[in-house]
Amino acid sequence: MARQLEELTRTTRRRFLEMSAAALPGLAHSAVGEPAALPVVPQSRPSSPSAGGALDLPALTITEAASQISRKQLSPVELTEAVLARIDALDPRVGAFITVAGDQAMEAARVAEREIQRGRYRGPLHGIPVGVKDTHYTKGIRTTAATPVLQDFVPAFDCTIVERMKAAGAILIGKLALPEFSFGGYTPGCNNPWDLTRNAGGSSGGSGAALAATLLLGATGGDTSGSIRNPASTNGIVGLKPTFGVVSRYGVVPISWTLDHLGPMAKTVEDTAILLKVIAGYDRRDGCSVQAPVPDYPRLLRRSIQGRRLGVIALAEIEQFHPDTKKSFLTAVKVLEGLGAQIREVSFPTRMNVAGGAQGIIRICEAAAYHRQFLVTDAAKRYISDVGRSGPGVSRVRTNVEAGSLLTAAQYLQAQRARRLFIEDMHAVYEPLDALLSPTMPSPAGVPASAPQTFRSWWNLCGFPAISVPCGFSTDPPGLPIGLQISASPFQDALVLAIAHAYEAATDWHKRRPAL
Amino acid sequence: MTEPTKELVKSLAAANGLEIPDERLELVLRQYERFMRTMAELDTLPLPRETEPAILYSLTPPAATPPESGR
Repeated sequence: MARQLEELTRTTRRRFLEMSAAALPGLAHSAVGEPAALPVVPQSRPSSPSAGGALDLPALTITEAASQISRKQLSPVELTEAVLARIDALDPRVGAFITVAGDQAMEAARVAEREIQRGRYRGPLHGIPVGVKDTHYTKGIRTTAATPVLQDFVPAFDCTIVERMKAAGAILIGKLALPEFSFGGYTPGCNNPWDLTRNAGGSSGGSGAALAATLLLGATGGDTSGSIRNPASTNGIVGLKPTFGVVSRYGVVPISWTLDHLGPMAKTVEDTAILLKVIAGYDRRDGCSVQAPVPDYPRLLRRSIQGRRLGVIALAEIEQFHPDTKKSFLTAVKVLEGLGAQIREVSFPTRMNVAGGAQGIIRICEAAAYHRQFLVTDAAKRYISDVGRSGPGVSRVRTNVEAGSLLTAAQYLQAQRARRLFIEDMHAVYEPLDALLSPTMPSPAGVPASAPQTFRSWWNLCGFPAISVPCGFSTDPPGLPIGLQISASPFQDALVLAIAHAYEAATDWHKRRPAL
Repeated sequence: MTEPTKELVKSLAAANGLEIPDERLELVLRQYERFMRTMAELDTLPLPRETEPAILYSLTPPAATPPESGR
């Protein structure tokens, strides 16, 4: 088998595409090992081939790979094989995956290859290996939400995001790590590729780590209090929390129905735009889905930001942030100013200081309602226990939802009334602006910070779009990524992407990769 | 406001149809206290009397600005 794999990886791209469609399945099947006994399990594959060649393929961006695939210079089978080999080689140290669906991925890659050979190219996700957070329902593939409560849950259908990515020809490689039920900004067992002794953040930590380690070309995550932007910043990749209602949440294990957002995560802004265009759009199965046209996000990227009015969080608001974070942020602001943006300092109304509290109450009351189905049955005993345990990696889900169950409906609705004021405040702040800049995180990965505000959950509470793009690296401790958050008014997702793209094009932070 | 106790937590849970094992009561009590402190902060917010909760819905299509024609 090892010899076959060596031959496989040495085979030229052209040779791959010259092979008959009938000959490919046997070869690929041998390379990925025996079929799994269960519908879903991490599958063993041969150890990775030598460095270079096929191993470099996973480092491609979606844009680069799609360009080659569309011109039949790169085979989806070859690309998927290379991605699976890299996961085999590196994921034992990174811990980004909960489930690798190697057999299903190879079958999908063979189908994609046949379609492309026959001239039926579907678009820029066709043949591209992607992963989704393990909250996303995947037909026939276990969906655990990282909890023993759902350890045997195999959905009978795909969530809307997966359905749309598959329809676009994407290859689903596997399910990505998160903390139990997505609670918290720390993903146990998922290490930061920039420093494997540190955590990848969360809750979409597996998505962030997999992209930083180039184990995937694209991914999705969920964001209730910052859970796409946190790991995007922490792992030095791009993550977008779209406007509430732009991306369907149907078929995804929730935390909170009125705060949850799903969105794309990728190595570049352009890849993020490509993913968003595929997964966005009205879905009648999601009660909050917005009936609005889906813009051509990739096409809208290349707009000048000359004269754009960009607000900047007042320096006093980030006084307690890590010095490297502040320095990188201010440098990023200068870059955008140099591109022609008009910079103005912005302060939020004082009452926004309790907006995070309203977000927390709404979040836990809605979570308690969802978790009631487990709490009133024996399933309650299957939550990860926190009795007698402490530390950042300890799951407090059961404790939180039990305590949340004790809050009253009147308290929940009081928080929802306050939310209306905060939404008005946010609209007032953004009214004279095109976008607002802030650091995504108060400090680099794993570095303690005591900042009173973190500037992430407000955007969930109010539904405004926000993206995190890499904007630097720390010096103390050295080499940890830092993210810039760019946010705007509702439905200005294309503008957020365009500003991020302009920034990215003027810098090279996104081109750096960790040494693994 | 009366300080919450384990007994109160147990009673509130029972009224909600939940049984919280004794070994978990201390953890749940502490978390409940945190939530109540947050509620106390929210109660300081001067809410105009007519403010409705943000979850009320409309049956008309959302009046979203078409993104391409936005600012």
